[in-house]
Amino acid sequence: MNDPKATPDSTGSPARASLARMLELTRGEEMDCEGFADHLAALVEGNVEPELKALMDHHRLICPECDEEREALERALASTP
Amino acid sequence: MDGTAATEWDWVAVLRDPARRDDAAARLRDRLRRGLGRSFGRQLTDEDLDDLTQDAVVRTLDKLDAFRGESQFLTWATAIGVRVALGEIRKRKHATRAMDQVLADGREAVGQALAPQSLQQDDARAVLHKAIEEALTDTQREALLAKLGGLSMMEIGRRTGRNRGALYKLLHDARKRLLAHLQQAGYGPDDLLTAQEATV
Repeated sequence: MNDPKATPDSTGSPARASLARMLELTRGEEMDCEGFADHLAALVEGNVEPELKALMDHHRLICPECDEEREALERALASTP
Repeated sequence: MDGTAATEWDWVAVLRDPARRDDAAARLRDRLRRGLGRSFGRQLTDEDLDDLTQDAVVRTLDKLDAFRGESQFLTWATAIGVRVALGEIRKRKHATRAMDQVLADGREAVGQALAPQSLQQDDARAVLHKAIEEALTDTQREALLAKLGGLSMMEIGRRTGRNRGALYKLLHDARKRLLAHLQQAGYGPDDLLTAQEATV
């Protein structure tokens, strides 16, 4: 998922310009980081239902750290025999 | 499981079997070490990777009951390892930053983000600035400023004694509160975006 306005940040600062974006992305119900972690392995294998994937994709936009974990997991699994 | 088990659940069974656990844990350690090396080899030393892999194996064994079979076992275990490794990297990155400095950076970030742009934006930004100071609880404000100050969620949680789930809820509630104040005043998040942000 590529949102050009998202500002994923590598182990650092989601900070400054993201205040307005954080509010823009705010929903009444959101998946939290623990929920994301619970399903991360299934996500990278493409084994999540569309509704769950939508929640996880939204979480990735608002939580660059969790998206970083997804990227790191994909790298770790990249050439696993 | 490396030719010795037929299903993902066999990993769980073998790791629970005292007679076979050590051998299985050694194979798991080897697989995790290779994965973490691929992902973090440039950021961590071999010694770090060995230590973090061992930590990841221990955590995986502790969490066996949580494996639901939604993914391959090794993918699930590697996700645990990635979180362990990133936790350490983030902790080191922010280790020397005192909380007071983080909060000051957060306030500066708010000040910059809410700097004057236009008459309408100025009013929206004033509403938001006031809401940050007056509508949030102390803990919500501290967590928000720490995040805006560049501290990772994991590190904020560590310093404030909250797990990431609880911290996310705290910040989510803060965002909803700020958004409600903004909307009650007739504005939306778009009114806060700088011209650059709005056109990116």
